Amino acid sequence: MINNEMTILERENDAQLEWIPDDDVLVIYSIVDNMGIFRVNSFDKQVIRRDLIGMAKDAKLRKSSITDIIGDDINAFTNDIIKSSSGPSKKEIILSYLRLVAGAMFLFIGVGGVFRFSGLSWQVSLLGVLAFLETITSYFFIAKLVKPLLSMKRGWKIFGWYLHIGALSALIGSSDVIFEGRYFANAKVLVHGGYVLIIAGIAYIVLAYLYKKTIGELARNQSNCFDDLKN
Amino acid sequence: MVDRSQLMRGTLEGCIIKIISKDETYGYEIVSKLQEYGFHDVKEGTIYPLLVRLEKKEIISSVYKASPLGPKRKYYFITKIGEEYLKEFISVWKDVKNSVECILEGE
Repeated sequence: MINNEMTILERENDAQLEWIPDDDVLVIYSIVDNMGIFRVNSFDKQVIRRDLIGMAKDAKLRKSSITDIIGDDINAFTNDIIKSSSGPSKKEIILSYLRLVAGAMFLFIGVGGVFRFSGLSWQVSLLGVLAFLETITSYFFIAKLVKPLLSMKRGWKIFGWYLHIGALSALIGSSDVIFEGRYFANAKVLVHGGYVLIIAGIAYIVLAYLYKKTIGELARNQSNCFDDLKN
Repeated sequence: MVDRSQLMRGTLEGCIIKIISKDETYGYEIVSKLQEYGFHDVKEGTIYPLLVRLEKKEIISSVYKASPLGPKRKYYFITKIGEEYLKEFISVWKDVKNSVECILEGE
């Protein structure tokens, strides 16, 4: 497993959650969920999460709660933190998107094609592939941009679940369009599945490495946030 | 009615840096000191975004240490950039204070 600074911080944060009351866990989750990668980079998000958990633990010792110390307007508090933070990382956003595309191509087109046709050669509709890419792109922007903005709104918390289920259904459905091509019968090409698997697989590994490197760059100036966890 | 907290909020950042400059300290302790000096409305939630901003500007830095009560705490300390910033803040504050006093005393 590739460990990077963010993984170390994330694991520590997850482990510390058991020491704070459930209500505070929900508040912290709500705050952090609002910080999508289009608003705050992922490393900063984990640093902020660590700070909030620390505040909640201190509050618990004083028989208080995180809501007492941050006030009732959690939305305003979250927006203040976002404005004060380093903001999003363009590199992270691009790499996240490309990694998602590579992973989805590997899984739904590569592996999906092998299972569907029990072989490595099949016909693929190019327009179907475009529809597939459009589905992934829509999912990415809805999940990473729209959902965080709505996470504070009442009744929208369940939106996340519907989004993931909907995206999965759309991707499975669009794979039908890619392979059967019944809607775009004139735009089919013969594809060797092995190439799709190899190219998408290598692309995913390279992108995952570049993503780790990007997080490392974001973490470089903030080593004080996780140095104590490395020992 | 005069909004006292609005008036004080403009100087909060400088006051936080001054408190941190005296000794390494953590969020709740900073809030306690601010409340002692008259910032009664201030809570940890008020100062946390300011601390994030100050850290981003490298005016302060932080380190996680074990606390006497158990959980690790984030302790803040001032940097060299912070010391320069504080000198400038004190100078600007004195100018503003003098100007306001002149106006209010009718000179």
